[in-house]
Amino acid sequence: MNGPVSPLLAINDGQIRLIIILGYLALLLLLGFSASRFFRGTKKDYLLAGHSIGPLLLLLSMFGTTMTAFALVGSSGESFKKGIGVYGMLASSSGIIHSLCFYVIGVKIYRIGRTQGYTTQIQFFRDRLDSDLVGLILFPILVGLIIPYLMIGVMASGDVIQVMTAGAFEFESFKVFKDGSIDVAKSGGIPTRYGSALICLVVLIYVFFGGMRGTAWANAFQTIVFMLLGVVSFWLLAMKLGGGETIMESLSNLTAKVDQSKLTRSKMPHSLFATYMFIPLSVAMFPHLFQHWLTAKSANTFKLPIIMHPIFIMIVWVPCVLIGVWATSVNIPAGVRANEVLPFLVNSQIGTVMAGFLAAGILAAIMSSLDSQFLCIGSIFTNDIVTHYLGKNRFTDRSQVWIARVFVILIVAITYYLSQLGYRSVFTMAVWCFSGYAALFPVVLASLYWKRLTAAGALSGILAMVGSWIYLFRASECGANTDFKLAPFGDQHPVMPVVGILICTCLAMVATSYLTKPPSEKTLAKFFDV
Amino acid sequence: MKILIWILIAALIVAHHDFWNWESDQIFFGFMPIGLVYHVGISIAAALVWAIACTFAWPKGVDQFDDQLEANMKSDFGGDRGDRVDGAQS
Repeated sequence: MNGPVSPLLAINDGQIRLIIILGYLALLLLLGFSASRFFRGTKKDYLLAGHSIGPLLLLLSMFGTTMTAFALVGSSGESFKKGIGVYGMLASSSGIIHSLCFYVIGVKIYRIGRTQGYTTQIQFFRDRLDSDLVGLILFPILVGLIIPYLMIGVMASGDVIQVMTAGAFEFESFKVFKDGSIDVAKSGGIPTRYGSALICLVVLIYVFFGGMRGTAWANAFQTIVFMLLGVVSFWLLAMKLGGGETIMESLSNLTAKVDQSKLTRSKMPHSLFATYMFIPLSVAMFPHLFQHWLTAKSANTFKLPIIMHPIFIMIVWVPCVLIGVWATSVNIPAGVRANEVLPFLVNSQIGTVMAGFLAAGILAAIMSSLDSQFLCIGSIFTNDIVTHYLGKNRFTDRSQVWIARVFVILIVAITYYLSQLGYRSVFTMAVWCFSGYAALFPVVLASLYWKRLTAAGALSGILAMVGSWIYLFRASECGANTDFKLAPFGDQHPVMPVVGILICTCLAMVATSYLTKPPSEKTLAKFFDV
Repeated sequence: MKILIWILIAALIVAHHDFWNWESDQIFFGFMPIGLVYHVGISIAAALVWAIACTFAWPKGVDQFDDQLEANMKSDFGGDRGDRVDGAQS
């Protein structure tokens, strides 16, 4: 797999791929520095890019933000295990639900946010519910849920770099063993702890210098990179693995080799497939997406992202799902985990240079989510804790930007530490994290469309979500049991845990709202006459 | 029109659960299993429904809101890019 040493460059294939990855990371840093030249020095410009983002940039940056390691590495890994049903389970359903959330929640939040001058979700909820306590309760929940989301990216980036640079170095500490023998898929590659740290550092630097503008530019650039490289590698992999004269012949050859069970959903329970549809509701409560919505130049800017989002998902997910399914008929070494199927195939089947570029593409998908998440947790801390409780006038705009940066470093350090504690399936972790956000969907929907929602009702809903989420997450052995499902209608009809959590949230929110005093007319006028 | 949009969205959600394709091993274009082709169709149909929604059922008042933002931006060139729509804090 590592191939011979290149006679011209006198470096091996693993090192060539490493150089391409480093070159790509350097390009990103340059983009971040370029964006910083447009920085006006204000907090609003740093956190919301001065509301200057147009339709195409909003489409690319929002899409790049929602597509993370979960979309490339997780989807191919999961279809490797479960077959083509994974596309319907999460991709086509997301095409419907994500755009629905942008249409129903995003546009309205944008209008309210621009009118009232908000930067974060917590500001909106605190004002809408006229309660500081809501903000205090939401802060640890939103940050707590974003940490596993960050971990997905940090872990996957380490895995990708290690597999893609396998064989690059002979250092003893870089060797990886599996069952007593060398694991050729990873040995000699940059260890995951260094790879993950490098990605965190690069993202931190361009977020620091470029702020939201740098993040949006980097997201757009990275979205183009991973979409283009994804399609090109799909083509190259199909030609190499299929062995046909034409692309169509190769594609047919590949599908013909796959076991029938992976080409149908015969082993996928209907109830499970149907209830996966609730997971994409999470986008309505992602704090980083909330912040992206507020960067839009106008409400009409949302039209292009709403229409094109399902098509973009299709362009990324179809190749990944097919590659994952085809991988079941390829000889994959036992040491390669589901998350590593895509990088392994690219590394072992495509030419060195192209594999290096694809590695950059996969990292692009990962980093385009990490950057927005880093920035948003900094914004939440500065706006909703520091300036809200210590006073806006005590800090200059520049010092607020620095406070945001310091908090981001702290969270990244915690995330990095947790990501090194042990292996978890990217797909499983993402589903748990998204379930938490999805279960908060009724709260944001009600806050925008239900005048009767009260602070106590929203708090009850939020706490019911937290309680039921923790209970079920513990029951799944903290995600270790990847097959954990609810079975209210018997084992033959399992449903996703998100259904139970959503029901708890809705019941608590509605019942408590009706039992408590309605919000004042003054508060409602601010939000329902916009 | 809004009702039609909501009917279309509901139809998409119902059509998403294609139980009739569950165990079918039919292959399209020589390589695409029907379970995948059908859901690619759902993705394309979703984009079409959203295009109709954005064209014919765009939320009320949004255009006026954008016009007001634009006007504020022009009158306050170099400032906060038109944040001061009626009732704003900033």
